[in-house]
Amino acid sequence: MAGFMCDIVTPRARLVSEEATLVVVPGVEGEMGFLAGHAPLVSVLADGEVRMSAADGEVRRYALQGGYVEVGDGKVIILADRALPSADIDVAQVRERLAAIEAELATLSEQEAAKTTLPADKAWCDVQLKVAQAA
Amino acid sequence: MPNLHDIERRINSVSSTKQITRTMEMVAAAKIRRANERVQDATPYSESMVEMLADVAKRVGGSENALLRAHDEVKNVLVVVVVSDRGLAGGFNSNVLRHVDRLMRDRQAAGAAVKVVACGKKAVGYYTYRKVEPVLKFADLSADPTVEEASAIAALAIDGYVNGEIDEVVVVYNHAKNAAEQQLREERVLPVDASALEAGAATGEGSKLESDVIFEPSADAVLDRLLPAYVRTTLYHALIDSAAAEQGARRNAMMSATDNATEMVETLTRLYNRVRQGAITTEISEIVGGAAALEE
Repeated sequence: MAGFMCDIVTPRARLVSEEATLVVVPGVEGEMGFLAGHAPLVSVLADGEVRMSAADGEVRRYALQGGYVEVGDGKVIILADRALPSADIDVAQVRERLAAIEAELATLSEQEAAKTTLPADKAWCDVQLKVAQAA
Repeated sequence: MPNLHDIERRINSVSSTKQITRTMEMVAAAKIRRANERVQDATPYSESMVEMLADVAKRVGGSENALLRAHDEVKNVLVVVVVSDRGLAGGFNSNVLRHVDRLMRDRQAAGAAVKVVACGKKAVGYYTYRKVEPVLKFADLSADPTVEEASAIAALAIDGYVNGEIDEVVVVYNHAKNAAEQQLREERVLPVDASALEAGAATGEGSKLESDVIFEPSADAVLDRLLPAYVRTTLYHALIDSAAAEQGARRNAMMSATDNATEMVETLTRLYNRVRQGAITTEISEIVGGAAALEE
């Protein structure tokens, strides 16, 4: 099957750049899969899991939070706020972090909490756990 | 005539200062590499972001997005001042602070109120001393800026802008032109200048996407999500760029300090030798004089 380049980029670094045959991303209106030669598309992504079938036949999974996908020109670029390969997710550590965040959130009122990055951190922990469980 | 002991003490003090400055120079040189790597790591994201945004903005055309629309009257300006946590980096901090002062005076003369976001201990100290309370301050992060820091600033700026509390957002920082040179930059973050974006994309390799692109859920919705992210990216980029520039500036400053110290030790050593020789000469002539007096 024909392949195409798939990049996953976060503000911190370029996480992945490799040849893939199929990429499934969590769009805001449901999952979308891209094969080679897909029509140009730009979409907002929801938090969730990216599944990438690499050229070597292996399926790689990534946890993803907030971002965009741009398809075109034989290339899929995923811009994510945060992303992590599922193999790198340390479930115990994420659980611990989640507990800490929840404890901290409990001490704040809803309004105060909205000003911090805690809700986003919590969502990120949830996504990581979900992806780790699915893997 | 200066005392031999005094000169010796000064030589010692200058050489130990030199040791410190040379160490700082080497530390900064090592950090430059890391800081530059971080800038390079972040570049693909911001480039794709700008490209995508330009593309979307062009397609949506005259969007009524609050972040694209300039306010008719500029009454409140938010200035994001990006400096370092530590000094000893030559004119690194003072250049930015002086520029911001000038900017503030100009805007105030035009009848606008200026609010400040201080990033870096030096800015926090500077403004606290001048009784200007920063609306948001960050310390201990200048060497290692985080996306979260940029997000916090962006959230404040966007909120204020949408609610009409802020009419313009400007960021002032040092751009690391290369390892040895820094360039002061003032960028307008809000309102987002869509025409500049399009021009930037056009002068580049042109739009990579063909004319009919599918937008999901819709072009407007994508734009609404992209713009805040773009603001965040711009700010994050300013922060890491400044961090790279800081190390470069510090290395330069320390290099010239080390050079100056070397020169000073040389001058002092020469003086020391001259004084010592003078003392010996005086002693000999005294002895000779004394012996001659005894003979008589």
